[in-house]
Amino acid sequence: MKRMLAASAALCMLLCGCGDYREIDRRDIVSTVAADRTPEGYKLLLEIADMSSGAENSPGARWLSLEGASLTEAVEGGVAGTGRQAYLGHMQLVVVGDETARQGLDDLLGYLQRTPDVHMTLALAVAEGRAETLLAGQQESEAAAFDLSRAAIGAAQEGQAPSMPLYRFIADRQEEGIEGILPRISQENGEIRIEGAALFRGDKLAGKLDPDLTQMLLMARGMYDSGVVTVGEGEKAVAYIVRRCRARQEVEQSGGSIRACCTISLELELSQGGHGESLDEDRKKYYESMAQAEIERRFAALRALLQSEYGVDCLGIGRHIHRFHPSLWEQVGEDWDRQFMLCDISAQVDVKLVGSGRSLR
Amino acid sequence: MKDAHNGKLSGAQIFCLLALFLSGGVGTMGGGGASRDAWLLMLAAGAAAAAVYPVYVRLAVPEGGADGFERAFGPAAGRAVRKALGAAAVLTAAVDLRVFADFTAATALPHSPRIVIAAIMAGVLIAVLRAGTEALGRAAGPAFAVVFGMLALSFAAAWTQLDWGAVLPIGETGAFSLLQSFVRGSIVPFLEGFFALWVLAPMHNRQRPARPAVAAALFAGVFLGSVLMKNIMLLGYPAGGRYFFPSYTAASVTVISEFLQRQELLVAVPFLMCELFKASLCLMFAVRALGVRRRRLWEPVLCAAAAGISLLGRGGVAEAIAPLRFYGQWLFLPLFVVPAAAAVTAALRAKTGCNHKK
Repeated sequence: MKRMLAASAALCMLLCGCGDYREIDRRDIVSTVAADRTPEGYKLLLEIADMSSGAENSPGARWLSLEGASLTEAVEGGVAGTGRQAYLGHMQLVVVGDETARQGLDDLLGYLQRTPDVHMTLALAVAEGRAETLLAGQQESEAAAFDLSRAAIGAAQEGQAPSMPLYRFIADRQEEGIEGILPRISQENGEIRIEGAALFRGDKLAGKLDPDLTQMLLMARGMYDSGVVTVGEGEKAVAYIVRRCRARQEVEQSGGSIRACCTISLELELSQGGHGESLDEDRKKYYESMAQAEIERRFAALRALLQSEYGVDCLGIGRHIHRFHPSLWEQVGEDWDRQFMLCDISAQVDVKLVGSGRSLR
Repeated sequence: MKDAHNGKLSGAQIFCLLALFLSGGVGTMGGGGASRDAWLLMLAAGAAAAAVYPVYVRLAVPEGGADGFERAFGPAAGRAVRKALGAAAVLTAAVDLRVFADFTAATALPHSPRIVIAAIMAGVLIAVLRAGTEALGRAAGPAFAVVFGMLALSFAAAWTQLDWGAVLPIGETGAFSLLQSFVRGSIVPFLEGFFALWVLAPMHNRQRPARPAVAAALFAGVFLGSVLMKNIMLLGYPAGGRYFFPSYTAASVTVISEFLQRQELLVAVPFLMCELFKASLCLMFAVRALGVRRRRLWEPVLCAAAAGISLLGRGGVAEAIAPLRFYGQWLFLPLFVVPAAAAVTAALRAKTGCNHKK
């Protein structure tokens, strides 16, 4: 019996191992993909980790351009040209051109979701212009593979752009009462910048936000953890470091109209400004009210843009109604796009100044 | 060969075995269009099972040499019912093997033929059946600690990423739809517990064999409900309901740190272990229910039959899961209606004094 059990245990060893085994020299390890629609289908530019170049712990990058009638055909067809299969298991960033995003991302989302190799935590982003052009600018630089995806993670951590892994974007895409957002990537003087947000209606790009309003949107959605808020410009600029940000939404129906209130509670540290003066209670209140006024101003600008210009509920007011006021959602859910534009949305901002690193005053 | 009937099991062992058996679907639950309230239905299913299991135990424990079906329907009809349930248990084991093989193929071995995976599993099941229920009971304690420890760890790891409002609103799909989901999905693993209890209850070393069964049902209801809740809060709804293996996907998107990766193992290992325990207990029931005498010969045949049935039908995970939409309805008659009828008839017969004896 012991021999039987040992034999069975040995058989079980066969169940573990690498999936889809291929030799490393027959694979292209893809780190970033730029995807654009063409009249014939899709054009992809793949950034591939190149182990033979780069630094010791950071592989270099080489590039592969692929075309096909579909995403699948483009990726699978690459093997005919290179003899190597594109491996998407380490892919961390997919950049989509803005025109492609305007036409809709469902094809891409479906492809990524159905391909077993693809990790659901990879980041998506929308490029200003064609994604291929943006990424091609990197070919000339000494950039290493994964640089761009690291930059996207850094931008999200600093609150300059949304952190939106694939699974979360898909969840927002499919849930009622909320529209998806993705980070924006642009190029300025040859330098790539990841800041701002692209706003979606369904799977289609509907608008964009600058970094300040993106920061505001993330605060209102409860997706903001840390970053910097700067009030004013030049010598008069006052900068705060956000230590904590909490958001809460409340919705009520009164007299046939829907009133929504976003309560944003911030704990800030004074980083720049107020140097040489005593930070007594009055001055603290002064700096708190300065930050509060700035946040309220930004929220008003954000609200106007979302409601009047783009008409997309990226704040998730509809989702809040759906979750917490289902009977109200039954009345307004069908026509939410229009109802959102008529909503009375306000913000209550609570700011608390807390002591900073080396100097409390 | 070691006889499975030569010993007893403690209440703790029965609790562990049954909890592992009931958790066999932890990897697939919540997929295939289950509603946002799947977690709530799982809690309800655990409570319902706690009420039903004492009846199962009463039927399983022989009195005067006759089991519950023989006491209710007479020796011949009782044996026929038991044999039909034995065949249902082989089918359940086959479904388990199919899900096991497809899970292994989808997550680790995409190009391996399913027949190889099923054959390896069948080999393991033959060894487990030969080792007997007592050996399985001894393995249950450590396995319980590993399985539920890993699942608890995966829950804790996901804590900061959870969207707690995602489980709202409750009851949006309406009472009829909830009832349908309850019958088709949530109650199924608990009804399948009949097979395990038939094997385990007569081996209990105490006077009250229903207690560990009721405790396991409640425990599994709460635990599986929590797992489903976590999946919805992590993957969202309806997105979370569209993955074949939502628990596995939920574990794969959990970020603990850059250093710790591939948390999918926290779900994959418990899932595969639970499937193994479940298929083993189903086949142990089949051996008893079919009245197999030459076990050394027939146990491999039953295991091979389960593996063979699991390979019927072509296609991948989608095709494997599609028939399971009605699997719950198929099982509702043999595992709920028949035992309920048997329990009522046996009670009436005992009252009127016309009990059948062997």
